[in-house]
Amino acid sequence: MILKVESINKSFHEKSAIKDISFEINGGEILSIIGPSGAGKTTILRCINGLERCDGGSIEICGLKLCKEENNQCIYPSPKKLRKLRSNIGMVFQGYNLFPHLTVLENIIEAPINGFNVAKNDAENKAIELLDMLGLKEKVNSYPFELSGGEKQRVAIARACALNPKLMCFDEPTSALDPELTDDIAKIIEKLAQEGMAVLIITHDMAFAKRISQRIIFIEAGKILSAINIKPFLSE
Amino acid sequence: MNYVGTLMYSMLVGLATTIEIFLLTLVLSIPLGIVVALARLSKIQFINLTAQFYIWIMRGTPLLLQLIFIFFGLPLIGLTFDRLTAAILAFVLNYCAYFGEIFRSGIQSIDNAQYEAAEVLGLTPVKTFLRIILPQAIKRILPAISNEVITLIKDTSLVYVVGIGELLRAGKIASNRDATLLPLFVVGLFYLILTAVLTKTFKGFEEKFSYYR
Repeated sequence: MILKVESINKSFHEKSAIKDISFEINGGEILSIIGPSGAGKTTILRCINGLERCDGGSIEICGLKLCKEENNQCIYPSPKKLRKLRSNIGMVFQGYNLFPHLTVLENIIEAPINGFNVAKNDAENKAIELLDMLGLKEKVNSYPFELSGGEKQRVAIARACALNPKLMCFDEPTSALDPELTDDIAKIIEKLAQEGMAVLIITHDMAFAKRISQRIIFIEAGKILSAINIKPFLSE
Repeated sequence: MNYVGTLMYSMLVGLATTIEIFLLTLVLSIPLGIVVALARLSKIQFINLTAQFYIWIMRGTPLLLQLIFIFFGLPLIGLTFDRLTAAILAFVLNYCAYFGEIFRSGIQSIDNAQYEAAEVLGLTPVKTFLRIILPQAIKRILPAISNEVITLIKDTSLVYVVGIGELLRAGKIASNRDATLLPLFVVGLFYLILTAVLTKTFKGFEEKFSYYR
C-alpha cells in the first residue's frame, strides 16, 4: 500500500473543511475523488502533500508517517524529514505552477539537483527520458510561456516524476484541456499507474473519473458519501 | 571653449568623487536592501517592527539631515567618522530603506503558487527564495530600481554638506570665482551623460530579463 489516510480532519477558522476522511491507495491503482466545489477535495489533496497541516488523523506514505495523532494533536516530523518524505509524492497543480524563468529542462532538474543533490548529468538524462516519454523532447529548451496548456501540463508531470515518486497527485487535470487532450492525459496517467505508481486524482469531471479510475470516492461537505469500484483492481 | 577646458581638471576630480560615492552606495545598499525586505516580511514581530521603524526614520527625514546627523551629531556621543565614511554610511542607510521597500514589493508580487510548487518539490525555503522567488522579483522591480539609481547619482551632490568636493561643488566654486553660470551648465551636462549611461545600462538589464514572460 502506498497511501493510507486515516480519519483526517481539517478546519479553517473553526469551520470544518474535511471531516473523518479515510481511504487507501495501492501501487498501480488510480483513485479519483469527486465532489462539488467547496466540498473539501482540494483540502484533502493539500493535507496529503503537506501544504496544509491536518488537525487530526494520520497519513502514511510508503509506510512512513507524514503525520500522526497524539493527544488530540497532529504531530509532523521535522522539516528535513518532511522534505525527504515528500519526495515520494508527486504533485501536478491545477495551474501547473511551472517556474516561468526556467526552461523546461531546468524546471525538471531544479528539485533533483538543488533539493536532493542528484548529479547534474543524471538529472538531465532522467529529465530527457521523461520528456521523450511525454512527447516533449523538442521542447527541452523552451520556456513555459512558449508552451500550450497541454504541453505545460505534461512538463508539470515530468517535473513531478523527476524524483521517482510512489504517489502522483493531480488537481483537476482536465479542467483546462480540450476534449481530445483529455484522452491524452488519461493515457499518460494510465501509463504512470502501469509503472506501479499510485495515482490520486481530484476532479469534478465524472466522465473522466469513470474512464480512468479503479475507484471513485464521492465527497460532500467535507465527508465521504460513498465509494464505488469501477474496474476490478488486481492487487500487488 | 578654452574657458571650459580650464574647468575640466577640477570637474573631473569632482566627477570621480561623485562616481565613487555612487558606486559604493549601490554595491552596499542593494544586497542590504534584500535583507531589509526580508526583515520587513518577517513573521517574527520584533524583526518586522524594527524594520518598519528603520524604514520610517530613513524615509521620513531628509537625507541631508541624516548626513549632518551622522557627521556632526554622532561625534557628540563619541562616534566619529571621516568625511567619506560618514557620507557612505548615510547614503547606504538611506538607500537601503528605499531598496528594501522595492524588493519587498517585488517579492510580494510573486504568486504563492510558486512557493507551493517549490515546497512540494522539496526545495528548502532558502533555495526557494534564491532560485525561484528572487530572480522573478528582480525582473519585476528593475524599472523601480532604475528610478532609484538615477535619483542616487543626483543625490550624491548632497555630500557638500560634510565638506566633500564632488561634481556640483566643483562647478559652484568655479561659478562663484569666475562670476559666470557656464560651469553649472557643464555640470548639468555631466549629470545628463551619467543618467544616459545609467538608463542605457538598465535597458540592457531589462532586455536580459526579457527572455521569459
